[in-house]
Amino acid sequence: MHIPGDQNVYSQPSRHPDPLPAEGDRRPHASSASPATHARPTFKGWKDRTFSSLSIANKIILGYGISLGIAVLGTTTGLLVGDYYEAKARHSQQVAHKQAQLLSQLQVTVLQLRPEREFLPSIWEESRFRSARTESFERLNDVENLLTEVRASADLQTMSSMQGFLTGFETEIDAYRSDLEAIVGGVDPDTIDATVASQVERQITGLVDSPTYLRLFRFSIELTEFVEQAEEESLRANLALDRAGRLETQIILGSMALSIAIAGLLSIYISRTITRPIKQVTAVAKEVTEQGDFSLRAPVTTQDEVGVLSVALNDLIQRIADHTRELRETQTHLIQSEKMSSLGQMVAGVAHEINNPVNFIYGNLVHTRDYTENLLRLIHLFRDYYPTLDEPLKHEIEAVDLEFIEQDLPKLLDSMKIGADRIRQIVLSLRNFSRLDEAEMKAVDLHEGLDSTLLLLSNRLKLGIHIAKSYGDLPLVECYPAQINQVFMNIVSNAIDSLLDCGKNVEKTVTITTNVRSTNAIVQIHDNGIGIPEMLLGKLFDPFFTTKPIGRGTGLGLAISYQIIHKHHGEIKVDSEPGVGTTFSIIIPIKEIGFKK
Amino acid sequence: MSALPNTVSRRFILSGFAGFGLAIALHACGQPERPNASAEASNNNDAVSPLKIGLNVGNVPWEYENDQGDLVGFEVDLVTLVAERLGRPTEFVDMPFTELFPAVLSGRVDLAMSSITITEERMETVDFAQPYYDSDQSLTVLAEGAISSLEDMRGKVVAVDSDSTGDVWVQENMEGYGFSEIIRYEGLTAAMMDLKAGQYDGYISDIPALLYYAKDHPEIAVVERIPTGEQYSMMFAKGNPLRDEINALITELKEAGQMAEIHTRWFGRAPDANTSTVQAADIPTLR
Ligand SMILES: Nc1ncnc2c1ncn2[C@@H]1O[C@H](COP(=O)(O)OP(=O)(O)OP(=O)(O)O)[C@@H](O)[C@H]1O
Ligand SMILES: [Mg+2]
Repeated sequence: MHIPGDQNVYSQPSRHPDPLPAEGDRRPHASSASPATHARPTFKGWKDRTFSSLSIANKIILGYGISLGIAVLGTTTGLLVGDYYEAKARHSQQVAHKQAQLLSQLQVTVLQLRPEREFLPSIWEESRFRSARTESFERLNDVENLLTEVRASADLQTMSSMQGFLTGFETEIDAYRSDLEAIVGGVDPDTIDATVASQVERQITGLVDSPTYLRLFRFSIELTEFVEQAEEESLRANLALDRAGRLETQIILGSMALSIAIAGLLSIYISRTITRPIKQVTAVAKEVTEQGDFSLRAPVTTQDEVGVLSVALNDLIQRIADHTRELRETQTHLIQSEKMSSLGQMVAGVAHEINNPVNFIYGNLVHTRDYTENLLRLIHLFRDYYPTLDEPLKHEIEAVDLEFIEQDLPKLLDSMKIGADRIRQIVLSLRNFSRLDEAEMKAVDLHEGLDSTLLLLSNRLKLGIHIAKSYGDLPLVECYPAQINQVFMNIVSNAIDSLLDCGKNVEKTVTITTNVRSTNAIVQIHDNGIGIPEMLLGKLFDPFFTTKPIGRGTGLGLAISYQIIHKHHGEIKVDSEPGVGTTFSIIIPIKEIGFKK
Repeated sequence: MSALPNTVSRRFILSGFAGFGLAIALHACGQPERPNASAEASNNNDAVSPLKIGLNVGNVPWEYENDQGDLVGFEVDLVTLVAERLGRPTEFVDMPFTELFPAVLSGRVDLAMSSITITEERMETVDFAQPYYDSDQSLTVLAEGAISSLEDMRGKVVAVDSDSTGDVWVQENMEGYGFSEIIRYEGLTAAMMDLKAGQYDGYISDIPALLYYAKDHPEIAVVERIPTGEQYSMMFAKGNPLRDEINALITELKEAGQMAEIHTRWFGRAPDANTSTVQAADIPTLR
């Protein structure tokens, strides 16, 4: 499955790392040709994972839900924030208003402390004096209560400046109270006589004139300052109230605008998240049908309906790719077996045809030698019995150089024997190579197969190519010998091709190394030819892949070799460096059980 | 290309949220703060706001209007120098002497000066800077009258400036000197007019003012110095930090000899070396 966190997934149709994959198919690869993608845990990855797992319907619902939520949230926040500031402003307005009221009331009450009016008219009447006195002190109590109230209501800001003032004020009130007390407190209304009355009268007048009373008066007038401050405060609170209302409107309008913007963006985003994958899937489908590139895959970025569609399409592509590959394999196989069977039949026929005449020659050579020896011995005998020869005979003997013939003839026969031997060997190799009839597994010596391959290729090797053998200790290997020989043949021919194409000024060498590693026999065929560019390494084993001109290469050699080795449960690997050389490694299990036919 | 819209839209939304939150936050801290700030600016002695001085104009030679109608006087000169050093303009508020006390307490004025004597009683409710003038009380009478000393005042009507230290002294010495009655005035001018008109017999008040007044008014005379050992200073609301600031400036003015200069300007002679006009003094505190 694709990892949504990976950017590549979005940007282009993914290329399947393996062109024609199949279950259990371990195709050979150059080590560099395996791109790997890893998921990085990012926020985007998380978001995409979460979002992409939703169905299209849910995505739409989610999008509109979010924008609606923001609108509701914004409006609620606006109302709450507005209410909060409004309540705050209202509260400070109330406090300020109450304070102004209290202060005014305090001022009025203090200004009502008019001892001359309170007492002078009533001084002569016992009951009126009594009630006047009570009223006056009650008024003083009122003043003090109001003062306490003002002090309590003063908020923190005005508190400090007011505190000192109120303390001073209180001192004045106390002074006034004690002065008043001194004058009227001790008077017994019942025993007021003219002297007492006039004394009180004088004292009250004096009190009104006294600095104590004057100070009290000044302080109460000064209260105006605080009344004004409180009124200003109330005004400011009013302004704050207005601002709170505006803030509320602003937040609500702002959040509305924001939610509209988000809704807009979300709809764009959602439509993209829906349409983009569809477009990508469509593009992939089109490309696959037009170009037949089965390595393409539709990106599965979501788990919604489009995701399902992508998966289905990918499945379809995979199946077509599989079918195509199978078809090609079959085709390759057919061509191969046809090629091999006709070649094999021809080789077998030729070998057979040559075998008989060669056997005539080879078989008669023994007799030829006997006969020649007999004849020579006969000539010697003649010479012994007829030492003097007639002139014509003598002349003839000299002319044919009988002495030389006598010496050379056995050598000549020897070399004929060697030549005939070689022909017999070649015929044997041909028959060995073309043992197509031998459809049975056999335990064979791979070295024998390699040697006969080299023998068959000796013609091409004569063109200045050196063979270096480094054979290890190989046990017999269970295999189809003809097919394995064919693999050797293909690979060594490629090596020769590569060496012949190469203009290098070094000794052109094919090095064949064999050894055993655990349960496998390993054959390495190395050439110091032109090498293979890295980008082609992945295609070498593809059927019909060739870089050779038409008529020289079919591009089947390695494909067939691959299939054969694969059938032997072995492996074939290539290692190459352009300009330096190429090594093909063939790994065959020494004893394989359960071969498939 | 295809990955771009994602990132862009997300960033946009996030910044949108951030802006939204910021707006709320700004409103949240900005809104209630503003009234505070303005209130503080108007209350506090901000660098540019004028220094408001409460004084009782007519109190020669401390603060009075000269013939040109300009406010002049010892204390006017002093506070002008102080305000200069503070880098603030001055604003003078004329008021009766008794009003100075509630006015500094309410903050209507930053400080009050009107040859105010430092007393224990006053220090209960207000603060003073260090003194800058040593003074006594005095008896002032008609030059042509029969009274030439306090002893002559027995059975006579005495007048004072209401709530002044003279008022306090008279109340305390009423019995001893046998004054028949106290008449209280607010302000020197009215008191002097009544003295000349024979409304009362003797006026008891701070000696420098009366000596200064008598210079230009030969019909009255200061006949006796009443030693009370008073000292004048500037008055502030309790706890006002401006007091310490200005106190330091007064020390500077004394040390620079500028205070003595003012004294010479208004009294025609240099102050005595051991007086509070010359010597820097401690801030008066309640005993
Ligand atoms: N040893 C090698 N050095 C360089 N290139 C090689 C070598 N072996 C194989 N190749 C490359 O691999 C290609 C495929 O080889 P393959 O044997 O499958 O086909 P071919 O040789 O082109 O044709 P044929 O079917 O006749 O063998 C070659 O065309 C050649 O480009
Ligand atoms: Mg080949």
